[in-house]
Order: sequence, then C-alpha cells, then structure tokens
Amino acid sequence: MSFARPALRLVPDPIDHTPQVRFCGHCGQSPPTSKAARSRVCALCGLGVVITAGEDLAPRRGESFIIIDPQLKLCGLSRGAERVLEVDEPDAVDRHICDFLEPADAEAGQGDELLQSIIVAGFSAPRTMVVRPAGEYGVRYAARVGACGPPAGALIVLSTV
Amino acid sequence: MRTLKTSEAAAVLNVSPNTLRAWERRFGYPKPQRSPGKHRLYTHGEIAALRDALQEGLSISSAISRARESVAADTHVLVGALAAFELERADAAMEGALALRSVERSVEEVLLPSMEEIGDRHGTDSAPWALAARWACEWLGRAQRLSPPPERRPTVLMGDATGDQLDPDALALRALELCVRRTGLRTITLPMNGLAGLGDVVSSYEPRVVVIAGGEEQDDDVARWAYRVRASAGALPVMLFRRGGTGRSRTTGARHLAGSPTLAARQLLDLADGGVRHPAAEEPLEFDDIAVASTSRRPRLTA
Repeated sequence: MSFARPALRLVPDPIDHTPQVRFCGHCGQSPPTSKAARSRVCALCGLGVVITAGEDLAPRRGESFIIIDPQLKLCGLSRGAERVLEVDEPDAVDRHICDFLEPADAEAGQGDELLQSIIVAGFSAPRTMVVRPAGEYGVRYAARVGACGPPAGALIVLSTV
Repeated sequence: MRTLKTSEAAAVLNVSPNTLRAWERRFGYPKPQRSPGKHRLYTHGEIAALRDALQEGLSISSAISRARESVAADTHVLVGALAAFELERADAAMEGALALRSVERSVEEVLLPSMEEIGDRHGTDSAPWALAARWACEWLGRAQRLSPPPERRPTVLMGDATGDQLDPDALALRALELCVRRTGLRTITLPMNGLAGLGDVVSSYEPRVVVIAGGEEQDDDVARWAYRVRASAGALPVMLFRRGGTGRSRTTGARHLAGSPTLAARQLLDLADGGVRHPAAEEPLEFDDIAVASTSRRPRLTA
C-alpha cells in the first residue's frame, strides 16, 4: 500500500489580471478620493454611477463612451457621447444599441459584429472595431468593446479613427 | 406617509443635496413636494426605491427609470384589481400607493390614471366602469373624511354640473374637493338644480371663489345658478373645471382651472388667499343667449 500522492504544481493563471480602474459613467473622471471611489454616485458631477473596467478598456481623457446592459439596451452615455449621437441620456435609456451605433462595414454583411462583441464582452479581452452612428455615413469611430460593471454590462469606448 | 428633508434624502442616497437638486432638474425625479415653508420634502418610498435601483443600475438614468417603474407598479396593481372586480385588493393597492406618495399624488398618479384605463378598456357606460367609479368615489370620500378639518375661513363654492356618479367628471370633481380640502380651504358643493334657498346657504358660507365643475348641465341652468350665487355673495371670481376648453371662456369671461386636481387646488388657494377680486368677477356672465349681470346692485337676468 502506497501513501504517495500526486505532487501539487503551479499552473499558469487562466484569468487575465488586467488592472481595473474606476470612473464615472457620465463625466469619465476617476473618483478623487478613496471615499469617493466607494460611493455609488460620482462625487464630481453627480450625474453618473461609478463603474469599473479594465485599464485597457476604460475611457481616456476626451473619449466618449456608451454603457450597455445585458439586454443590449443602452443604459448610460457619457457627456461626449451625448454630443456625438445628438441625444440626451434620459431620452436614450432603454433603447436598443442598434438605434445608435452600427459597424462601419455593415453593408459587407457583418452587421452582427457589434452585437457579438457586446455579448461576449464578459468572457474575452476587449475587442476593437470600427463603428458609425446609425444611419449616418462618412463618420467613423474606432470602438473598444469590453466588460464593465457592477452590475455586469458592456462598455463601448469611441475614439476618432 | 414618511417624508424626508433634502439633507436627509441626500444622506440616504449618499449624495450631496446639490446632486439631488441636479437630478430633479435633469431627470424630473425624485419629485419632491413642498412644505408650507416651500422647502423640498421627498417621500421616503421614492428615495428608498431609488437607493435600491442605484445599486442595480449602470447609470443614474437607468436607476431612475427602474425606480419610476417600481413606483408605477401601483397603477398596474390597481387596474388589475379593478378589472378583476376585487375591491379589497383595490383598497390595498391604494394603501401601497400611499406608502410612496402623498394623498394628492396617489390620486393624481394612481387612482385617476387607473380609472382612465378602466374607462378606455370597458367604456364609461359599462358595468365594470360603474363598479370601479363607485369604489373610487367611496375611496375619495373616505380620504376626505380623514383630511384635517379646514383651518382657513375662505370657502370655495363648487357648482356640480356633472352628470350622475358614473360621469368621469364627477370623479374628477371629488378629487378636486379632496385636494382643495387638503390645502386647508373649506369647500361646499351644491347641485345646479337646487336653486331654492341657495342664497341662504351662500350668505352663510361667504365663499370667495366659485367653481363650476363638469359639462353635463346646460349653459342656461349654469347661468341661473351663477346669477343666484352672485346675487347673494356679490361679484366673485368664477372658475371652470372640466367644462370644455382650456383658456378664457368666450361667453362667460370665466377662466378654466388646470385639468389636474392638484394644480387646480393650488390655483384656487392662490385666488382665495390673495383675496383680490378676479378680473372676471366684474364682467357679466353670459351663457350663449343669456346674459347675467354680475353686480348685486343690478341683479337682472336678460334674455
């Protein structure tokens, strides 16, 4: 009878540990203090909820962004995105993302690419694609699509191509 | 119903009072009432619903949308109860509504919209409407009995020009009576067809404003009633409530009150408190082909 047992070994961590950053879902600013970071509502503008996203996805200064819920409905717009899409956040909430954005190459038969990116946002690294405001031609944005929260949602960060 | 001052509501939500006021401007929510000193008073239920929604929302807009939905749920519950003829459940739905809102807002945001929904679904000449309308009138009557006694002397005289109890305008009139009573004013409601002894009643109460509510009575009947009132009480401002049109009446010179009972009650309070003679008071009352002189010195009905 043997008391030998398999040796424990270190294995690579399958989870990507990208540093997380907290920012306001409306003004995009980071909470100024640790106390403000624990608050649910942005202490700077008061018009957004403080959410978390990976450092590689989170909006940088001047970038516009959109927050989508798991039902693919829009639930938050940054101040810049309100200007880009010409809509106020209260009027846009609960409308489908396709009412506002579509892939720039939608005519090429890849119209679902944006939706696919949002759906898999929680399970993969941020994806990059080119989008345009729905029904508008000649305006294109590079979009980073990834997960944000809590609660679970998707973040689309727009920057000029 | 528990209410919170701005600082208390802000503390519950862990935001600054300025943020709360910014939400009110941008989103129209939470919607505070005003204290007698004109300070904001938030209902605890609305603030609690918003606090919970903020934990589950990805933005202020979506949290407010969620909180609004949870507050609007009372209307669905009441419509469901009335459509199923379950009046006890309807009472419970109004109790639930009162936990989140003032009496006035419960009437305005839950009871009246629910009744409108029942009217749209079944028609106002149907048995389901009759059942619901009787229940609603009883509920408003109960709420009126529970209102604090009037603390101000000015009285608002309401001329009931509505049809029977099933007339939707009759329900609106009951709601207006309740809202006026809750502002602290005294109200008396008299039917248009009771002319005998009207002068004695009017002299006894000395009303400061007259409201003619409803569109069922003919203009000449209304004119006769208004003439008797003015003959006893002198020139009084005459306001119209739910009597067609919205601006200044072409024939009567009387002004229309807002369709919302709460707003109409506030307008009446301003009129009664101001104590100033309404410009319309000095003008002759004319209902189509009948002109009624408005001063007590010349009480003459001309055809």
